Amino acid sequence: MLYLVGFGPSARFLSIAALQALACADKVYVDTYTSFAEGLDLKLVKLLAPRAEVVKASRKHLEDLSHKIVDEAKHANIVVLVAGDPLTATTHNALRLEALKQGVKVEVIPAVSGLQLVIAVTGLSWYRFGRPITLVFPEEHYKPYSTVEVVVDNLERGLHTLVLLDFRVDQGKIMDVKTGAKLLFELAEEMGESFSKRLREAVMVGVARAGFSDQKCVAGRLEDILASEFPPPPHTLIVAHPRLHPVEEDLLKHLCGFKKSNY
Amino acid sequence: MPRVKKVEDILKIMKNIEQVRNIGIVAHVDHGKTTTTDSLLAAAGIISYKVAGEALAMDYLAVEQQRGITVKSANISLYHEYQGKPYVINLVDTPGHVDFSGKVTRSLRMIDGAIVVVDAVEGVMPQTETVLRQCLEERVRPLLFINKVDRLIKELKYTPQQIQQRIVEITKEVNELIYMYADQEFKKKWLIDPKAGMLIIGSARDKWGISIPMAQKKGIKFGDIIEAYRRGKEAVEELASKVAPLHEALLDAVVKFIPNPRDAQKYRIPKIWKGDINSDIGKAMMECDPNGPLAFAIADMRLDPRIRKLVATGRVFSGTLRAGMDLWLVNAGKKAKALQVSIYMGPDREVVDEIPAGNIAAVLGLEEARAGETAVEAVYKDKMAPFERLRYVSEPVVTVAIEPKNPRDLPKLIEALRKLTIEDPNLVVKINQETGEYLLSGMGPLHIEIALWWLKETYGLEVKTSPPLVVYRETVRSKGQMFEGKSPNKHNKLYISVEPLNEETIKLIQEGVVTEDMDPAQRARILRDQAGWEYDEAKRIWAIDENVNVFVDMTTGVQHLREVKDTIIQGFRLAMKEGPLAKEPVRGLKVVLHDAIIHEDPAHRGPAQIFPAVRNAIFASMLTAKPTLLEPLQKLDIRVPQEYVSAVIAVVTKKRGRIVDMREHGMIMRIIAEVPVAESFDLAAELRSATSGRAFWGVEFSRWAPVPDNMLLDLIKKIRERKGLPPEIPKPEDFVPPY
Ligand SMILES: Nc1nc2c(ncn2[C@@H]2O[C@H](COP(=O)(O)OP(=O)(O)OP(=O)(O)O)[C@@H](O)[C@H]2O)c(=O)[nH]1
Ligand SMILES: [Mg+2]
Repeated sequence: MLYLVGFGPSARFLSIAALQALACADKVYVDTYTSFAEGLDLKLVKLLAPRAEVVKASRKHLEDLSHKIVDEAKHANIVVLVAGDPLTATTHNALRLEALKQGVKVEVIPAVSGLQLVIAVTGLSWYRFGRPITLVFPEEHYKPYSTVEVVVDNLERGLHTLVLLDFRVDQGKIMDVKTGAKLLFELAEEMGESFSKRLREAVMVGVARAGFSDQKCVAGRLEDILASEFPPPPHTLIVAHPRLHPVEEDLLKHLCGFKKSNY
Repeated sequence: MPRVKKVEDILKIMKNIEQVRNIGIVAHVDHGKTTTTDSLLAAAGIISYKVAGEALAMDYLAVEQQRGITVKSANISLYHEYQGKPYVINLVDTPGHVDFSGKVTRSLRMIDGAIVVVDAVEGVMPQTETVLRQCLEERVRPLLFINKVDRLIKELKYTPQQIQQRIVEITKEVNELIYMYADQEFKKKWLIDPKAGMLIIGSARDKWGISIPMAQKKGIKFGDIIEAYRRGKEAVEELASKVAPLHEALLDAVVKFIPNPRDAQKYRIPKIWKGDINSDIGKAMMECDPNGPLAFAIADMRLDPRIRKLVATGRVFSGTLRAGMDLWLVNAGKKAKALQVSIYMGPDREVVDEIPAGNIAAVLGLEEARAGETAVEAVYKDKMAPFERLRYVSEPVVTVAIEPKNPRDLPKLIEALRKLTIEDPNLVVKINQETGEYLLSGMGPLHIEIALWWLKETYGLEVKTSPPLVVYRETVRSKGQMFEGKSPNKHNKLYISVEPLNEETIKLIQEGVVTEDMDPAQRARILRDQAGWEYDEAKRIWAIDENVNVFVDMTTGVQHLREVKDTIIQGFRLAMKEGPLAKEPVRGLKVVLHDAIIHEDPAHRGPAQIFPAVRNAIFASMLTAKPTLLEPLQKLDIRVPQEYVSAVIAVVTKKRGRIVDMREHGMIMRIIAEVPVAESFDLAAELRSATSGRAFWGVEFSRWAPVPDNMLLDLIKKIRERKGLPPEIPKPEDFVPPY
C-alpha cells in the first residue's frame, strides 16, 4: 500500500490520520525537495514511525525511481511524507497515477495546504483569486516572462494572483520575496510599459513562513516590500488588484500594515 | 628604394576611396605567400628592403618561423604609387594549410581581390583549387602570380620555350577553375588575361616579377632573365631592384584590376550580406558611404599578449569607425564600446582617430565579439542583419585529451584553452563529464600540434596529451518511430521522431545557403525548390545547429508551447552534441516534434524537466532508425612519376582508401584518392617510403562517410569503453521506459 501523507506546514498541525499511517509504515520517504515544513526532520519521523526504515527522498527518488517505490508498495506499507498538502506538487500525482496503473492501492492523507494558509494569513478573499503561477529563477535560454503574463492577465480581470516562489531545496534555488518582487518588476520592465504600469498600480503582499510560529506578512508598494525584514523562506508573493473589497482592505491594514493613503 | 610613409600620409589616402584596395594573397602550402608578402612590405617601407625574403616579417610568430608555415593571418596597410597617384593597399596574409582553411574563408570577407600564388614547379595543387574556389564564391577577384620561376631556370634548366609552355599550362588550369567556380557574370570577365597584365611571373625569393605589358614596355625577354641568373647574384639583384621589381609588377596589377572598395561592395554586398539592400544600412554599404551608419564586419579576434586584451580585426563596410563609439554586437546581442581604433603596420598596430568605410581596422574593447561578428552603431541596434554566418569548409575531425603536467596548473590550462578557442574558433574544447578530461578538437593532427605548441610558448604550460583520436559523427539511415519523451516529473510529454536529412539539405546548410537566422519564408522556398521539402514543413523549422541537424515543429495548438520553445531548442542542441551510440556529435538529423503536453506552471516545465524529455525521445527514435557512425575521409591529391603509381595504389588500398580519379600530366600521374582519417596518421611516412620520396601530395577534408558495417559494432564498443561508458549500445527502452 502506498500512503501519500501530508505533514502540513508545521508539526503543530499533524493530523491523527497522518500519525496512524506513520505508525504502521515499513518504509518512509521524506520528501525534502518539493517543499518545507516547520519541525519536519528525520529525527521526528523516526520517533513517529518506529518500525520503519526512514530515507530522505531526493528528486531522483521521486521522479526517476518512482517505479521502485511503486514496486515496494506492492508488498509493504510505504509512506511518502510530504510537507504541506501531498497533492499540490506534480510529482506526487505522477507517483499516485503510476501506482494505480500497477494495481497498487493508494491512500492520500490530506493536510493543511501551505497555499491556503498564505491566503488566509492576508485576509484576502478566496473568490478574488485568478490562476496561481510560479516565479522561477531565470536560467540560460529561459526567462520566466510567462509568469508576468499570468499576473497581468489576472489584474486585467480584476483578480489577485498567488505567485509561488522558486523553491528547489535540492539545487539551493530558494527565492525570497524581495528577490521575487524585484524580479517580477524587472521582467515586466523588459516586456514593456503596458506590463510594468499594471504592476506598479497593484498591491504587493509578501508572506513569509505562513503557518509557522514566526509568520510575517507585509502589504504595500514594491518599495515597502523591499524595505521590510522577513524571516527566512519559505516565502510567497501575492499580487493583489488595487481595487480591494472594504473588508479585504481593513484586514490587510490590520494584518499586513497596508496603508491605503499610499495609493 | 623604400618609400617610408608616415601613418598620417596613409590615413589621408584612406579617406579617398578610389585610392584604396583590399587584397589578400592565397596559395597552396609553401608556394610562397609569406615570401611574396614580405617583398611587398619592403617596398612599402615598413621593413627594410634587404631583409625581405629572409625575415618573413608576416610569420612573426615563432612557431611559424620554426616550421616555416603561416598559422595566423596578419594584416598590413601598404603604400603604392601608380601613374603618379598614391594608393593604400590593405593586405591580409591568409594561412594556406588545409587545417586552418576556416581562417581563409573568414579573411576573404575583408578583401576584394586576391593574388593567387602558384609554384611554377608544382603547378596547381589541391589547396590552390580550394582557395580559388572560396575566393570566387565570396566574389573576390583573382590575379595570378606564378612564383619560383628561378627554379625552372636553375634547377630544371628549362629553355625559354619550355618556361613559356609551363606558364601557359598553369594559366590554362587556373582559368579552367575560374570559369568553373565564378558566378555567371564574372566567368569571362575574371579570366586571367596575360596580355592585359593579370598574370605576373617571377621569384618572390629573388624579388623580381614581371607581366607582359611591363615586359613590352621595358623590352625584357625570358632570355634576359635566364641570362641574369647565369651571370650570378648581382645581376639578379639588379633585375629585382631596377628592371622588374616584384612589388611594382604585383601592385600595379592590383591597382589596375582589383576594384576599389566602393565598386566592389556594389556587387559583393548582395552576395555576402543577407539584409535588405534598400534599407539605410544596405544603401550605405552598397555605396561604401563614410557618412552612413557604421557597419563593421569582424573577421578575426586575437589576444594581444602584450596588453592581454582582445583585438578585433575587420572591415568597415559603411560609416566611419571612431574611438569612443558605442557599438552593438549583432550576434552576441550586446553593447560594446570601441576603446581604441588602429591600423596595421606589420606586426604592430598604429593608433588612429578614425577609419573610414572601405578600410580594414583593428579595434580594442569588443571583448564579447567573436570572429564572424557584425558590429553596428548602437542606435542601429535592431536595424542590422548580421553578415552571413561564416561557413567553414572543414569540420573538426581529430581530438586529443589534454592535461597539465603539473596538476596545479589546471586552472591556468582552462583559462588558456578558453583564450585559444576565442582566437581560433575551429578549435573546440570539451570536458568529458565521466572522466573529467579536457578534450581539444581540431581540423587535423597538425592543427592540434600547433595549438599545443602555442600553449607552451604563450602560457608556459607543459601538457600531457593522449594520442590523437578521430572524431566520429552519429547519424541515422532510415525513419525512426515516434516516441513519447517524458519529463522526470511526468507532467510534460513530447512526441518526437527522427529521420535522416537528405544530401541536398545537408549541402545547403553546410554551404551557409540555409541558416538558422534567415527569413523563414525565404528558407522554406529554398528548401522546397532545392531539397524537396514540403513548404509547410520547411516553414516550421525552429532550429538548425552547427552539426547540421534540424528541428521542426509540426504541432498545432499546443498550450504553453511558446513558453518552452527556447528550452526545447536548447535541449535539442544539447542532445545533438553527444548522441546515443557513443556520445559523438550527431549529424544530418531531422528531428520532428509532432505533439506535446506542457505543464501549466513554470516551476514544472523548466530546463531540468524539458531537456531530458527532448533528449530521451530523440535518442529512442534514433535507435530505431538504423543508427550508424560517420567517419571523416580525407582527399589526397597525389602527383607521382608513372613508375610509382601501383605503389601508391597499394598504400591507398591498404589504408581502406579508394582511388577517385587518375589523370596523366606528361610524365607525372595525378591520383585523387579518399582515405579515412582514422587510417592516415602514418600515411605520409608510408607514401614517402613506397615512392622513394618522389610523390607530392596535398590533403584536405573530403566528406563524412558511414563506417563499414563490419567494423561498426567494434568501433562503437571501443569508443564507449574509452569514454568510460558501459560497452553495450543502449536500447530505446533505456531512454523511454515502458512503465
Ligand atoms: N626557389 C624559390 N624558393 C622560394 C621562392 N619563394 C618562396 N620560396 C621558398 O619556398 C618556401 C615557402 O615559402 P613561404 O613564403 O613560407 O610559403 P607560404 O606560402 O607562405 O607557406 P605557408 O605559410 O606554409 O602556406 C620557403 O622555403 C621559401 O624560401 C622563390 O621564388 N624561389
Ligand atoms: Mg606563410
